[in-house]
Amino acid sequence: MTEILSLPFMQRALLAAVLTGLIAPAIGTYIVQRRLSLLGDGLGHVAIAGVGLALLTGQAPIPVAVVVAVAGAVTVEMLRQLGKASGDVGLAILFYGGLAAGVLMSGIAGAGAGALSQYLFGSLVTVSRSDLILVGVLALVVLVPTLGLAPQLFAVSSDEEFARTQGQPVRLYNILIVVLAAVTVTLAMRTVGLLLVSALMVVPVAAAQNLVRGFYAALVCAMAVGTLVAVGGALGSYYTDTAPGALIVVLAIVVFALSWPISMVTRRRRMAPELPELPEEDGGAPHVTTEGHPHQHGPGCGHVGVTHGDHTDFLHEGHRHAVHADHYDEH
Amino acid sequence: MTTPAVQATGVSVELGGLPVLRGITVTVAPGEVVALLGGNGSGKSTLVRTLLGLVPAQHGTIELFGQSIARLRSWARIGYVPQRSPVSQSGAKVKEAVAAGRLARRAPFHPPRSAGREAVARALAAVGLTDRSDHRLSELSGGQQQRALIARALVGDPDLLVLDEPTAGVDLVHQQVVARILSDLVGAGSAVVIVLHEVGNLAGLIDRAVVLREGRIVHDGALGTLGQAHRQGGGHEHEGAPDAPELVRGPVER
Repeated sequence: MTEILSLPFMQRALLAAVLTGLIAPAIGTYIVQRRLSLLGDGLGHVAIAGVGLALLTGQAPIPVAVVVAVAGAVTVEMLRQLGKASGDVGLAILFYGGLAAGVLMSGIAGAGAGALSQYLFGSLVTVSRSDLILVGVLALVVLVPTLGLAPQLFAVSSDEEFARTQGQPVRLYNILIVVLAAVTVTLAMRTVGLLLVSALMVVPVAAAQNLVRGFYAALVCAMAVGTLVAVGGALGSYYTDTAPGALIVVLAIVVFALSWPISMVTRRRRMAPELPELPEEDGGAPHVTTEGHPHQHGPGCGHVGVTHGDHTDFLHEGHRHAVHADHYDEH
Repeated sequence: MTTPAVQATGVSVELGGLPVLRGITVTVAPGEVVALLGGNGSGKSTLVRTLLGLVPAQHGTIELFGQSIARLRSWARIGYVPQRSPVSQSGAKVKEAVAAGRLARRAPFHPPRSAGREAVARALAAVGLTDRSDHRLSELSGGQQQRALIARALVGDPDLLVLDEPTAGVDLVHQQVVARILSDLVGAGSAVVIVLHEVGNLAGLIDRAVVLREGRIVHDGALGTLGQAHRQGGGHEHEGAPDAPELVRGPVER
């Protein structure tokens, strides 16, 4: 164990894994709330075009991929806000166009599809020092708003219309969420890889919702689960000599699978039994008055009182009497 | 003269090319309780959503507290209770969902203040959900969820409360809670706009009824005899509460 930690490339890889594990579920919490669980996958495809472009032009892959993915994310969100993203065909074209363009450009660059695979499924040995610095900066860029604006982003992603009636800049926050998702996707490409990053954004969130109750608790729990599986997957991939992304995602799904029975138990316990409430008034009851009623109903008159809407009925020989002005009504 | 809470003039709305509201002009004064009535598809829900800026109006002007809806700053004065909210599927706790109603009073990147937490506790107490504040919204019954949405609107101490069918499909206990909350609010001088399918036990609170039919106002005035029949002493209505079709037909045939 100490032997791995003394390897510089492993130190960098583990740091990158910690940052990815913290960030992906944090932004993923809002993505899941907005029911855009597959958005991360699509943005990953778009980022591949960025990697291809970087290989073609000889630039560093992460900055180019960030720019391309953010541009893709803003396009997707603008389409959605204009109400035109009902054409999910449009999204499919954007996403698969990105993937195809990436593969094509990397081929032209002479790197071939093999060079892409380290970005698709992650690769521990490729995290350079400058990569790590960039990942650290971007992680901060994502973490500050996801935690600092948590109440606002929660409101916007869980009930957009209500957030609007609270005067929130809903459009701006929605764009912020997808832009941060795009940044997260690209900085995760060294550890989990672009094809599997979406799983790290979604699966820990789903597990956290099973394990704890409440939005903020789930946010923190998802980040803890994400960090755990990211570090575990990175370490495990060193020993098994596999792509870290695959192991990270498999571990996340194992945690989710374990959280399932836990949620079953706790949910059953938490569901407090509810008293049966009175059936709804049908409003059509005919007005039947009792004929001459010498007995004065009241608390402690011996007849059982039953709350009925805004008054009390008294059980009276198998039926109910209600006080009405100077007489009693049959109920 | 006091600024009206709501001032809509000549508002027309089209949804998908179909006219839903046609030339609606309506005013709500501070402290007034106005019921919006009408059958299904009469446009009453669309009207409140338009008044809040959630649906764009093709024609006409809407002012809340004297400010145009497009440039409204005083969102903190407005509380909105939708019929349903996707927040109930979010896994959030009741108190977390309710706290969203304080956002108009809260600047970004500022930690929560104790005043906000106290307001959440007060609002939950007002709707009788104090013991449920740590439950998930999805664990509550339909009526309780509806009450939580009312608490979310109350938590910002609104001067204008807009409710979209708060009593549809819920139990009697809940209807009484709604009636009590409304009378407290009105006592404090807030204006209330409430969409109702049937007036039920809220009749006594309503100052004015606006009846819509096919996107037009067909009646704007006292609830009149429709809702008040046979209501004195300790009894309740037995004649059948006035329901929407009756209300809609009444003024039109006159």
